Amino acid sequence: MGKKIINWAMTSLASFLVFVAGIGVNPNSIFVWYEPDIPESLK
Amino acid sequence: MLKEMSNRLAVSLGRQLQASNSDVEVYAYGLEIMLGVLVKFAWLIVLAVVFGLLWPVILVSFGLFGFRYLGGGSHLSTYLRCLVFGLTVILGLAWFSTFISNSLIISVLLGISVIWGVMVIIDRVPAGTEKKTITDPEQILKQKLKTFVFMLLWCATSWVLLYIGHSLESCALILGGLMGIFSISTWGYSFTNGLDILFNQIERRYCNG
Repeated sequence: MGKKIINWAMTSLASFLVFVAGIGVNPNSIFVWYEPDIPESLK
Repeated sequence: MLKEMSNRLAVSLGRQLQASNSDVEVYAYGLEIMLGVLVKFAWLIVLAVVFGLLWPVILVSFGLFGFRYLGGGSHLSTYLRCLVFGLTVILGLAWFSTFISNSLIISVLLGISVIWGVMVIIDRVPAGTEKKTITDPEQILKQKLKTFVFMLLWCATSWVLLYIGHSLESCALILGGLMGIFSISTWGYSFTNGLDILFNQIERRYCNG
């Protein structure tokens, strides 16, 4: 049960991070004065 | 530091989920964005409260982030520089706005910002960087239109605030927008380049010897 919850939390976090990364590569810039390197897979 | 931390956390998450290397890269990128924004906003709110500038800081940020989000603009080369410079600029402008209460001066500032803003939107938006440049003509036009609509809203809000007697709030909003327009302009790019060179020299002098 505990393992299932951890797995669900990890998968949710990973999905959220992919969503955030998607925002990072769209034309709008969410960074004010610094921009991280965009990974090759998202270019 | 933020990049390293994001990479480490992403590798650990990727291991748990048995993800591929390219997935881990995406997680690291997402984490770097998320942590960077959270750290910046936490510092901004704490310092704004400490200096008693919360409301002007919110208004300066709204003007600045609105133009930057839609119009793009220049960037510094490291997160620490971005954090220090961004916080200094926002807090400095918020503090400066508390000294300007003359409606005429604020109106002139708004007028200059609007004229310069229109020129910058036509000429520069979307202002890209080496890491991200928009080349699709349709996308470019869309970004110009979005930025222009934001400028109209920003200008109307500033004017209404001034008209109903909230000159401090109006001035903070105008100064934030003016800084946003500056950072999209060619002067803004030259300024951040110069700042990066200066930071490099300081680092060489004080960190390497």
